[in-house]
Amino acid sequence: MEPHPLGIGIGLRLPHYDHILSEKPDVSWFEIISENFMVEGGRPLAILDRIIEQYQVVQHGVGLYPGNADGLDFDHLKRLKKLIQRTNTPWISDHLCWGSVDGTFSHDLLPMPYTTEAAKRIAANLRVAQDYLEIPLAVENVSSCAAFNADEMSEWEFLTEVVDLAEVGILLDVNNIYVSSINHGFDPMEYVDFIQPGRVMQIHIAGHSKYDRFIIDTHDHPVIDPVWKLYARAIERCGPIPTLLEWDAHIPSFEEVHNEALKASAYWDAEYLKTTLNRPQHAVPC
Amino acid sequence: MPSLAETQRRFFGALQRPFRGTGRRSTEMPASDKPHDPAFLKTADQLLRPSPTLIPAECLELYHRQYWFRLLDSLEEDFPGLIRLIGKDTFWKITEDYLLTHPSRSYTLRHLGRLMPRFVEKHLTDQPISHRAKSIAAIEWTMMECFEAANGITL
Repeated sequence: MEPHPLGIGIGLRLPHYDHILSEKPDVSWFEIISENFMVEGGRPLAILDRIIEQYQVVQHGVGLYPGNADGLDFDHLKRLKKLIQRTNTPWISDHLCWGSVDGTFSHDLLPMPYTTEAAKRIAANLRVAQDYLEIPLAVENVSSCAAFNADEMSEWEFLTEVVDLAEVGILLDVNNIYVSSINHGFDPMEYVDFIQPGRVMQIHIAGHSKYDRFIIDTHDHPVIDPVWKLYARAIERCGPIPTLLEWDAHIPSFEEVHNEALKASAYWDAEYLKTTLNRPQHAVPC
Repeated sequence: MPSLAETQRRFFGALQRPFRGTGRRSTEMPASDKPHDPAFLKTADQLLRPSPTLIPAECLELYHRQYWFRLLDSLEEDFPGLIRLIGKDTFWKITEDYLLTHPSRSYTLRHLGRLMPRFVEKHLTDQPISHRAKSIAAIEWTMMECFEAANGITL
């Protein structure tokens, strides 16, 4: 799987709509939350259409719930496919999680037990979704603060098994890896080093909130240094992967969010440079 | 070990139990010192293992409070007029009952308040304000419907 040529993007969020439409800032791409635009009309789609005219948009979902034991919601898939046809997104992503039972919704990204049964179930659902939507699908590792007695493998082994079984890509969220590493006490670099580079289609970076005994993935702060270190390692291993900064609460100005995202370009440029320098040169005749 | 389906039913069942614990005290919900019921604690111990810093019940509690925070915030945002009319204390009491009776049945939180107009009227039965409360809740629900409706036909 070759990296997509998109660069560093940011999430399209309501407080920035006016700025983006009036100032037309130079941004590689915007990520949208699919469920915010799965409507019949009105302002959400009117804004989206204006954004699409000027920018590449990539869809990121929070409601597919591929880990649901009772399978996928095909009404949801139909709405998703309709939106895909509108946005021309090059791929879509959602989460390695479950979130509803018998048609009642948690509206949360709930953690999977890392068992073979769960891996097979979520992989089967992802495969069906990707086939139905007819577009590459990437699944994102979520942050968690609960682990199951039933776990049979590590999170990174589970993620790898799922994407291999489903033949889908990974949206690698390095902030989520860091958050979970603190909450569960594992080495986050071991996680990043285990991931197959060829599977990674996109990377998420974000900030979080630290409490006395746990961390919550709140997307309301700048990215911290340990997360940048994980990001640097991921780029080193995977190459220049399209990267997205998430900032979803206490959202500052557009410039502040964009500048935070662009810090990632330092790691990209270094990787690009190294790739270029290491490329075999043609012999120069004396 | 329970199956995946059984694990999810029990985990989600615990999230839907009445809002207890320290999370409740950080909201405007009517105060309650009731602890989590034994079934909540049993589910936590049977399904989850302790983290380096949290016991299983505390891990489950984090998801429980996030579930309630998310739904309460959504209804507070959707019904500002209703809150002004009936007051915060009454609104939060009704909202707690509403969520225990009508959990979300839609992929989007925008639809969470669909049954609120009828519910609030029923809850305030015999009070003079009940019809007005239903009306304003209905207007606010209709505004949500307009927000995501297809554009109307041009006359």
